[in-house]
Amino acid sequence: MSHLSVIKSSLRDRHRVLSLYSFCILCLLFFAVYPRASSGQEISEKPPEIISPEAETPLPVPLPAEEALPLPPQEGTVTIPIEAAEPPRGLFTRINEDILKKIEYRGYLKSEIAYRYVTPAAFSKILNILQLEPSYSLNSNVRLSARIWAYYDLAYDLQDLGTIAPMKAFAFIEPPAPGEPEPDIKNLRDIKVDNYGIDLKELYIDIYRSNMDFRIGRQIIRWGIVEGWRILDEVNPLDFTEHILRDVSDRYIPLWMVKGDYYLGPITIEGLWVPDVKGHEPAPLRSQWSQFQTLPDLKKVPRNFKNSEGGLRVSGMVKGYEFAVAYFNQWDDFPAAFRSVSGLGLGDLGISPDVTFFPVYRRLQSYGVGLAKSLGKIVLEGEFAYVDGKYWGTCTECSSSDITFGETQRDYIKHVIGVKTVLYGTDISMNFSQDIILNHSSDIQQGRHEDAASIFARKEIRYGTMVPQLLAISLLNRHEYLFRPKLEYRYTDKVTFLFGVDIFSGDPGPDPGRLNFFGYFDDDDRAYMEIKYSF
Amino acid sequence: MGIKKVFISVVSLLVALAIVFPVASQAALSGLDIMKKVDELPQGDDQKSTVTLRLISAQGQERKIVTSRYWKNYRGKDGFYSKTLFFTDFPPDVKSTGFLIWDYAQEGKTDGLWLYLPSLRKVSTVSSRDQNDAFMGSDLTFADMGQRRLDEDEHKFIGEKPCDKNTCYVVESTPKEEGAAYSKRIFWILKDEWRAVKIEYFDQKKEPLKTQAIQWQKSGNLWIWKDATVKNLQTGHSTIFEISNIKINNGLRDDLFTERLLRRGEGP
Repeated sequence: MSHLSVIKSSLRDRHRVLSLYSFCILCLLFFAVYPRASSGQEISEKPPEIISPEAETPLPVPLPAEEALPLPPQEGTVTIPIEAAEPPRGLFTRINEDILKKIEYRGYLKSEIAYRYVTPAAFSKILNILQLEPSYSLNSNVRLSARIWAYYDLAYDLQDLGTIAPMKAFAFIEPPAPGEPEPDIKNLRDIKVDNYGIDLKELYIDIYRSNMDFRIGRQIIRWGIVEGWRILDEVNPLDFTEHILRDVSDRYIPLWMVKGDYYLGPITIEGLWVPDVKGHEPAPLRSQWSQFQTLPDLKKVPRNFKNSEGGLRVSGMVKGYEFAVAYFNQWDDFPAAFRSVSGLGLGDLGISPDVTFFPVYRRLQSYGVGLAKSLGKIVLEGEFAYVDGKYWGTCTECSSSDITFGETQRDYIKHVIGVKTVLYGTDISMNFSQDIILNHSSDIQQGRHEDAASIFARKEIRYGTMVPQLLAISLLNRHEYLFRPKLEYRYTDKVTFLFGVDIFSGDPGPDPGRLNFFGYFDDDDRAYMEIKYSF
Repeated sequence: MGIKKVFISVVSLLVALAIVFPVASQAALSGLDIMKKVDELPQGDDQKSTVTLRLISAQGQERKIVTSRYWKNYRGKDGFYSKTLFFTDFPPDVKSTGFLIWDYAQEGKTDGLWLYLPSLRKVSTVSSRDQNDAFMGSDLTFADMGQRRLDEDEHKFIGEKPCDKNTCYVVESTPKEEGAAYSKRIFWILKDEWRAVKIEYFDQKKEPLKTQAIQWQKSGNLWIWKDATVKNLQTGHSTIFEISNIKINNGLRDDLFTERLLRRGEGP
């Protein structure tokens, strides 16, 4: 991921507008398709009509029961008892009574305050979030759900941008547009950070049938069995705005898609169609967590059926073994950074080769399998995937025959194995993972294999009011580490405090083109606290 | 002496014997017999209910957890004793968290446990909990909530004692295995009704640890907990379990107790 550079971010605002617009359209469609939404015994504003068997001409409706004189049934007519008609309800009343009053709201108000205690010390985040999760059940088989996120980061009002996001040794300096002055690297006030906004995170309809379920809309799909590792779990791209420090629901980028599940006894067959193609979202250029960047000439994948992503997953439980077999036809979330080199020129770091990038998203085929087995107090689990079609960056001077514009294609495999257990009331999970490039050559910048390990521990104490936990991840080849101890304190049923520390350790990276994933943030250790009010 | 006199004498003698030896008819009952009766109380084919836990600290601070519970009695069919599904309704930050338990009939086979966390959007296989771990942060453990097999304890009939306005059989159950969570438990069981109304727990040092007082309610032909108050005598913490919205024999289908429903985050 370290070979990409230069951001483009202006599409974000447009994307939000489009998302909200889509939200409105989907709501309208929902209530148009289900005009009797929530009103199982809806009373039409138009009075009911009684049809005479002899003449299909509608007859006028008799007076309401309490006003009408009892008349004997006439021969040849059918008497239909009707209840007293309710006065017609206006559109606003109908919307209020049939829809708004039946929407369930939940969500939270949260304040996240992070303090970087490594020089230059600063409050790197004073993020205030309102999350709303409205849901509406038409009946037991159809449900509409949404998640809306509004945020405002106060840190950017209180502190200098250069203090919040100091220049790092290898930070990439964006070349000025033609005619624009050179940027002053000591003044980083032009950092493009969205410190406030509203996002439509999720919006989907669930439709439950006897042996099938559908979820249609903007959503997050988790395919993995082993938590925390992206072996099978490659459906949604990631948002690196805050590196990998955000919660799962805020780290995964939701996509518009159709998901269908077919249940065949203990087996579930899940199909995905993803017309909404996106790659990983890097942190804004020069922001605190800026690391890899998308290249300026990166073309988006045109949205059409042919360019859709799709997948199939078969999972279930057989003889005590939980298994999943998955195939996913996707676009690589990291585009291949093809490049051409034309002699020497004056670059950002002095005289260097003149490099022109023409990045392209490439297709990947991923075939994977996952397995979990409970042995009482121990759960063993693992995932394996074979990925076909990945392009890898090569060294600048390399010119093997299989290198095309600085990139070479190699399939790779990745796997994770793990064990979960409970010791003295503490949930413990340990994992080891590897990415292995098949037919690796020395021209490829990334090593033949990348190894990683993690340990997670969590314990509830004081009757569940306090929950200490620890996550430690190590990238073994490069001796990089991330430690995340934290303590959750449930103050009341609705108010929770969270105190934690994020500690990065390692070297920043071998050169500006290859920044280490954790080590690059060695000077960004932080302490943080959160106050959350849930409703 | 006529036949009538003989008959009256015999009846009088029987009445006298019944007065003098009031427990003679029960004398054959052992502790195990009583506990078997308790164990055999009918529970129905399935149950739906709302379980509310009130966790009260020694200082009087109270927390509440509300769950929807779905339970199906398999009675050994297909290799299961029962299957249970919980969904948390309150507090709001953990709403829709689901917990699926398959209680296997096979001796020694540990429960199958699956957890659905809406924040992670996935179902995970969970390692079997330590039976001494607190159940949902309460004063009862998983072992207290489960069905401990009768042959795991020695049951000693202590005698009959008054309990409130009734009479209770008192049975002392001592675990056979070493290192059990409790040195003993004393059950107070309503005479001839076979419902436990009080349980006293003693720690491994044989000191009183906690008490559990149970109120019952009748739903259809079945007796179900109405509430149970558990007080830890050593920490002062207590938990009140309240059972409401009980529905018995709903015909809950097998496919409700699967990952499919767990992922929905709410019951049928």
